[in-house]
Amino acid sequence: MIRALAAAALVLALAGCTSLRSTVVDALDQAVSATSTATLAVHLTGAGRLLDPAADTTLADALTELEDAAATLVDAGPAAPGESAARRAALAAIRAATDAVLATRDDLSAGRDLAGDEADLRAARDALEALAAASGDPS
Amino acid sequence: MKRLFAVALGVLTAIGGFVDIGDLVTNAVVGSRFGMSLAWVVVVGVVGICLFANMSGRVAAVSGRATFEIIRERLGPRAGLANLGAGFFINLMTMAAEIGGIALAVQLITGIGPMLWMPLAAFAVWIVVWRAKFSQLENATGLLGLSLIVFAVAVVMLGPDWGELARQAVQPTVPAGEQPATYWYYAVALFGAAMTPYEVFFFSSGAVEEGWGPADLGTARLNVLVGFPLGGLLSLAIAASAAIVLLPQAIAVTSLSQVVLPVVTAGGTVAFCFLVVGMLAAFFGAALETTLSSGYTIAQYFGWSWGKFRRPSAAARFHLTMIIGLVLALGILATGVDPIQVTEYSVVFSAVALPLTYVPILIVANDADYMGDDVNGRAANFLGLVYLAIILVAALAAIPLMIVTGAGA
Repeated sequence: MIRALAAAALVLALAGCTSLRSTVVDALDQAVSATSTATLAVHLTGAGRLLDPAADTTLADALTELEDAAATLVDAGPAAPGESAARRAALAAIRAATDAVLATRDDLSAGRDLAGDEADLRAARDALEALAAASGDPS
Repeated sequence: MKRLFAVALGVLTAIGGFVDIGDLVTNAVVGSRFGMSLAWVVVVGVVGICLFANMSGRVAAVSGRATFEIIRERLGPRAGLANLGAGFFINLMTMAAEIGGIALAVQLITGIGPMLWMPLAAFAVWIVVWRAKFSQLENATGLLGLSLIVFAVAVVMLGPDWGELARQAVQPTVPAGEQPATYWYYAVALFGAAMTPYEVFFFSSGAVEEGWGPADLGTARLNVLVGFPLGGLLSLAIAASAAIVLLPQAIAVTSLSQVVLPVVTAGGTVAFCFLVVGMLAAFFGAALETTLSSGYTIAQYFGWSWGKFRRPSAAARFHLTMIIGLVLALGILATGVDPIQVTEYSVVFSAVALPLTYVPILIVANDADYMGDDVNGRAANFLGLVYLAIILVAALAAIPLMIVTGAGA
């Protein structure tokens, strides 16, 4: 009985372990989700459908998600040969997306036009999606 | 006419009170990641909560005592303590999640961070629990919670491909990019959200608060059998709105601000205002229910005087327990933990604790000493046993699935 429980615990522990490649894919997916959220919020704000406080909250939440995605990559263990470049590329794309969301939040706060921000956010999201696809994300 | 009004009011408050932050967030997360492919779990959960809420309401109406009081007497202090411990822990997590949810909803209209609003929300909950009559707090939050119907309106306004939504619901599959284990993890979470134990504690204690007798069984049954399924439809509308707007854009819900986006896409600022009112009412109502449930469970276990029908001075320990519960919930939130994460964990731990809540109810509902001729019939017992099996499977699978999937990541 004890052996069976120990074996089950080991299986669960091993199942919890993930490769750097899957960590990169997960972080990119998280970043795509956050950047898409920011893009949608900005689009709705520009169309006069979303109030500024709600848009600001949405952007703040998106930033938290992007920070979390970047931290996941930074905290991941040492990279195997060939994986290091993928991690650096993913980190760069996530940081670019973070910059785009930060700039959008500043413009929203200042009451500036958000059309340019929406385009920047879309470009950042496209870059993240391309990287995710290149990293082998089936979605 | 008066009876018709009572039934209508009961049904409406049951609909409005059905959705809490657990239902809202879990359905939105599931809709944004799995489309409607987990709609069947909502149906299973709603049938289950109807079955057991009806059973516990009948126990209270026939015996004149809340289910939890009888559980301790019938099963003894040890089994009662296990039930109390699990119930109180889940209830505390849910209370924290609801208070955090109120703060997040206020942030959406003020832009000011939630930490400021959490103590104010807890204080407001305490004032209402202290001052308002039971029927007032139940009816006001339940009726205002009906504003969440805006999710159903939004789904219609978004003009979805109904055939595709129906296909996802009727022929459920795990979407590409998602793991089967994650699918089942969220199935357990949705089930836990629909059958969260505090609903039963509150329902049976509320029956005593409102002085139900055997003559009220028909009304109570209608409230449950009509109100809860309609509340379940509201849950499906939340998932559908996320499936229509968020899923195609690869947005996986992790925050309350994302939950509002489909409604705003459909109906703009007017729909947003309805949604915020609905969310505030739903979370506040659930915060009241969980706060009261914390008092009910502890007071009923220890045999203290309890109830809103008594003056606070005549049920001092009951009220003190609720204050301590609110302080503990605030303590959880003060650590800076994300209320949405608390919500996600609370619904999964609800699933773990389900047997401790629902097995005793099934036992008590079959005890002729308490129920007389109103013990469970064959159909109720058959369904109860089927649900017992489902509940046990969900409870046993919840933690392993949480570890394997990294809590659904």
